[in-house]
Amino acid sequence: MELTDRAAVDEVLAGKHESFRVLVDRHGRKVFGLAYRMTGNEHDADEVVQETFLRCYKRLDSFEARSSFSTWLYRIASNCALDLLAKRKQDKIHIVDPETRDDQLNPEEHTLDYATPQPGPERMLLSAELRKRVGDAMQRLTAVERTAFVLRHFEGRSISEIGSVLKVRDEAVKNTIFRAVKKMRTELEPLMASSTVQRGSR
Amino acid sequence: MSRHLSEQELVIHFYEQAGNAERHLADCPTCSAEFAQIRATLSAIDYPVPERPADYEAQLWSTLKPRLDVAESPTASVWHGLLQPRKWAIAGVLALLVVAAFLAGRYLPRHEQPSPVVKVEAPKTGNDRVLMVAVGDHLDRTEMILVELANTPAEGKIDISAERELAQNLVNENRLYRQTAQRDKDTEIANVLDQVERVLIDISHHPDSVSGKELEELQQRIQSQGVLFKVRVIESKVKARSRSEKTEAPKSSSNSQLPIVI
Repeated sequence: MELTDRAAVDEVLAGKHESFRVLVDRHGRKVFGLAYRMTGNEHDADEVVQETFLRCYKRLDSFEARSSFSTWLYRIASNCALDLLAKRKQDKIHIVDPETRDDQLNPEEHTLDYATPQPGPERMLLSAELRKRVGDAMQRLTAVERTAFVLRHFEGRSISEIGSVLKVRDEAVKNTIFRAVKKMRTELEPLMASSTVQRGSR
Repeated sequence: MSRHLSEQELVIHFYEQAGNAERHLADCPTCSAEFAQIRATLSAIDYPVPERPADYEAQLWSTLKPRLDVAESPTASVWHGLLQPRKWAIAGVLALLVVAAFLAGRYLPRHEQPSPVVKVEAPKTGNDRVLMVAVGDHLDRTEMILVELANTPAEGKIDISAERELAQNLVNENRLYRQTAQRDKDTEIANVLDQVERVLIDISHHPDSVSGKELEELQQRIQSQGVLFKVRVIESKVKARSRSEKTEAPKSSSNSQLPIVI
């Protein structure tokens, strides 16, 4: 029978350290996904994954059975990513290429047609542009905003779970998500608007 | 018809599907149109994660395993529990109750005793490193808030509720670490923690939303005291100490005590 997370934790704490691999195998990819979306690049995401499992291992005795292991692990991963983002700022390494700031799309030349079932070359190109714009916009969020947004939008975590990661009240989480969404809208809606206009004129 | 839904309510509705908003949207074309736009934008936001190779888990384990081997093995630890603020508080309250009951039974009929300061001391076995790790984590979180605030553009109305609440949470924790450092005569750490505490209190006393001018003043106060720099310096020292104490731990028994100060 497959070992549950809780059982694997108990085995590690009882001295069977190899059982930690069950947890790494089960959650490694998900932690990478979260780390990638928070840091914006594979290298940093790999570093966050390593640090997350290392911290998790060292603090395994503090894991409380009443909470879900994955939520607890996500909390550690988010904090590791936040630490790395803070360190990056400290090191004066800007993840965003300043040139991309000026790389504004001309709304008249680009459209986004989400209703088109077949992704033609134009739509594929625009999807790539949109992805780039989303990436750029996310890099402009503050670390806390990005954490809240990634956890809610991509990972589907509840407001209270995000609150426990950030150690803030639900209301503050909602405010932070709203702030993030507002910034994302400012970046992306010129494209969306032009898409609507273009669709209407066809 | 009730008032229109705010942009924030519509955004939260997109994620939370609140029943009240649903009913309003069904009756209100203005809000419904605004919500459709929000939904279209948010639905288009994708940030695909690069594919990992099929043997990713094996690769991850092979790089992780050597690091785990040299890490301290996790076992059920009394110390970790003691370091959690909530448990400190519970332990403190219990200790206070025991002492109060004892004092009441013994002395109350004759004369009143002033409220005692109770110190519950942890056993004296190598806990310095655990304390250093905890202080390091605390400074990490403090640094995160300071960096956030320092980098927030001071324009228009700024919502700092998340940072304010984080600061509020860190104040009590900071006080305990500062008192411990003072008691251990660790002046350098105690002084920085003292300064950090004032800044955290300053942040926590702000409203959830501040004007650009207020934020700028706060940023200037943080900057003029050089708190962020001091936090980084002391953080790296604390982490270095925690590492060196880890390597020394097996052969030495630390005399440092973790107090629970009520």
